[in-house]
Amino acid sequence: MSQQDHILIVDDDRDIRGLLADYLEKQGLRCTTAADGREMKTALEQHRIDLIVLDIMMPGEDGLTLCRNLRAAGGPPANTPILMLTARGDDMDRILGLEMGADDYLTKPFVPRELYARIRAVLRRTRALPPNLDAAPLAHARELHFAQWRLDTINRHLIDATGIAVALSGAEYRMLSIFLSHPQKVLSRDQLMELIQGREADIFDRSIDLQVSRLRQRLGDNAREPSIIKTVRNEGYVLATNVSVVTPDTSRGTS
Amino acid sequence: MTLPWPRSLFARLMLILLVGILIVIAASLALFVGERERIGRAALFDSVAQEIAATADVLDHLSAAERERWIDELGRRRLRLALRPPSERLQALPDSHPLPAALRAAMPGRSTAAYTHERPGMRHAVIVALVNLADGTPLQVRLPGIPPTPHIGPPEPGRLLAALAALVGGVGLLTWFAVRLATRPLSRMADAARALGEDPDRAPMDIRGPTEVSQAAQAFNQMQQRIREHVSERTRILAAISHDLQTPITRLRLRAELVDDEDLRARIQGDLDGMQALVREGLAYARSLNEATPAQPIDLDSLLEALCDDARDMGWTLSLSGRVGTPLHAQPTAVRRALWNLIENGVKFGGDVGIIVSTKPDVIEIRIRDHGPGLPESELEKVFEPFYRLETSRNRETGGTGLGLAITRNLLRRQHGSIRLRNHPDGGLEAIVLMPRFGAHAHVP
Repeated sequence: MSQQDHILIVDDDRDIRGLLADYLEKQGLRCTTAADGREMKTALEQHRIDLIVLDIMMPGEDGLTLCRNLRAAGGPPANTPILMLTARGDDMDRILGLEMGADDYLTKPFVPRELYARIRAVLRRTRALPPNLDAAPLAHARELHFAQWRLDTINRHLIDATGIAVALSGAEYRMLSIFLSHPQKVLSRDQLMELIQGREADIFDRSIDLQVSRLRQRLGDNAREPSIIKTVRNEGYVLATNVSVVTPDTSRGTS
Repeated sequence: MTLPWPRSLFARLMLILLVGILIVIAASLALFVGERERIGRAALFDSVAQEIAATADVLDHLSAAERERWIDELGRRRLRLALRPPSERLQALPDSHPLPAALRAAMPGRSTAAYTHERPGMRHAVIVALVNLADGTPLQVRLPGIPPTPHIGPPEPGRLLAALAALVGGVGLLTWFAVRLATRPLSRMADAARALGEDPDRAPMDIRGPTEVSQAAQAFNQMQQRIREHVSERTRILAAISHDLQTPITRLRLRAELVDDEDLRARIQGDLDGMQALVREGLAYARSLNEATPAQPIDLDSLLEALCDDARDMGWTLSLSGRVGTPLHAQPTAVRRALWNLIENGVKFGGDVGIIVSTKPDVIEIRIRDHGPGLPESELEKVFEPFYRLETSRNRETGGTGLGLAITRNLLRRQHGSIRLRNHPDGGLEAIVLMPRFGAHAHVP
C-alpha cells in the first residue's frame, strides 16, 4: 500500500465530517468529505475513492438508499467498499446495512481508533482475498438454511429441526457465518484467520482448529466423520452442505 | 380470644350468608311450628267445647222424651251424643290435653270431664266428653276422628335430617352462586393486575358483566392504558436522550484525538466510555421494560455453554455444572442478556464465577455465584433499583452504570422468571434465577 488510500466521508454533521477527516488524515489517509448524496456522487466522479464511510442517518436520501443506489449503478465506483456508520445499535440496522451491500458497520459513537482499524481491515480484506472468496450475497439474509439447521442472523442463534433455539458463542457465530458465506469452498486456516480478524478486531488466542472443532460439536457434527464442515487435508476446511435463504418474511418492512 | 376467621373473601361471605340464613330459617321455623300448633289445637277444641255447651243448653230445656228425639234427629252429625253415664272402659284424659280446659271454660256452671276410649283396630282412640245437664243427667259426647292426644312430637330423625340437608344444600348452592358472582371478578382483576406487572401490553380486561364489575374493569383498562403510555413515553424520552447524545459524544471522541497529551487523551476517552456506557445502558433499561419480542423454545444448556465460551474468550474464569435437558420457553436475546449481565457482575465483583443449573418440578434454577465479599443483607434487594449506589461505591470503581441488575430483573420478569441475590454460606454472592419450566404461562412467585 504505497499509495495513499483515499476515503470519502459522507455525513450530514459538519463537525463530525471535518473532525473525522482531520483524524483520518493524521493517520495517513487521504480524505474527501460529502454532506449528502449529491456531493457524494460528485466526489465519486472526481476522485478514485478506495473506501466510503457512510452515515446511515441523514436527512433526504439516507445512507441505506445511497448504498443501494451506488451498488445498483454499475461502473467502477459500484464496487467501492462501504463502511456504514449507524447511530442506532439495532440489529435491524446492522442487518439492513449489510443486506444493502455495506462491507462493515460501526455504531456511533465509535472510538476513532476502532474506525481506523476497521477501515484498514476492510481495505486489506477486499484487496488480499482472492475474488472467489467474495462473500456470497445470501450470507446477509435474515435466516439461512443448511444441513438440518437454520441460522437466525438477527438473534445470532441456530434453530434445530424441532424449532429449538441453540445459542452460539460469539466466536462460533463468526466462524459459522464465514463458512456459510463461502459454501462448498475450501478455506485455508490463514484465510479463516484473516476473515475472522478482519471482521472483529477481538483478540483471538484460540487456534482455528480448536474453533472449528467446537463449532462441529455445537452443530452435532461427528468429529471423525464430519458431514457439515469437512477437513481438506493440507488445505483447510470446507462447508460441505448447500446453504439456502429461508423464505424472507415479506410482511416485515424495511423502515 | 379471636375466633378462627377464614382469610378469603369468598369463605367469609359464604360463612356469613350460610350461618345467617340458617339461623333465620331455624328461628322462623321454630316460631311458626310452635305457634301454629298452639293456636290451631286450642281453636279446634274451643269450638268443640262451645258446640257441646250449646247442645247441653238446648237439652236442658227439653223433656227426656224430646231429648231422645232431638238427639236422634240432630245430634248425630258431628258429635255423637248419648244420655248415659260413661262406661268403665274410659280413661280420663290428661289435663295437658286442651279439651278439659276448653270444656271448663265454655261451661263454667257445669261439671265436665273428658275421657279417651281405646278401641282395638282403630287408628285413634275416641275422645269422649262428659257433661252433666241441669237436671243431673249425664250427656256423653263422642268426638270421632280427633286424635286423643293430638300430640305433635319431634318429627322422625331421618326425615328431619333429609329436610335439613335439602335446605342447607339449597341455601348453600344459592349462596355459593351468589358469592362466586361477587368474588370472581375480584380474582379476575387480581390476575389481570399480576399479568399487567409482567406485560403492560396485554389485552385489556373483558368489561362485560354486572355494572359494578364492568365499571371496575373499565377503570382497570384505563389505568393499564395510562401505564402503557407512561412506560412508552419513558422509553421514548430515554431513547431520544441517548440517541441525541450519540452525535456530541462522537464529536467529543474525535476532538479528543486532537489532544496531543496522550495521558489526557486517554482519560478523556475513558470519561467518554463511561458516558457512552450510561447512554447504552439507559436505552437497554428502557427497552427492557417494554420490548415484546416473541418467545420461542431455547436450549438453555447450549446457551449457558455459549455464554461460558464468550466469557472465557474475555479471559474470565468460570465453571458450569448441571444440565437442564428440557427447552426453556422465552425470548432468546433477553435471557442471554440477563444471564450475561449476571456473569459479568460476578466477574467484576468476585473473580471466579460458578454456574449451577438444575431443574425443579416447576422451575429451572440457575445459580450464578461469585467468590467476592458478598453484600450486606440490607443491600441484597436494593441493588436491583436503577442507579442504586452501594455505600462502598464499588460500582464506580468497576465502571458499572447501576442499571445492570435492574435491566436483568426487568428482562427476566418479562420472561415470567425471577431473580434474587443471597450471600452464599461459603462466601461470595449468589444470584438465583428461576424460570418457569412449562410454557410461558406458569407463574414464578
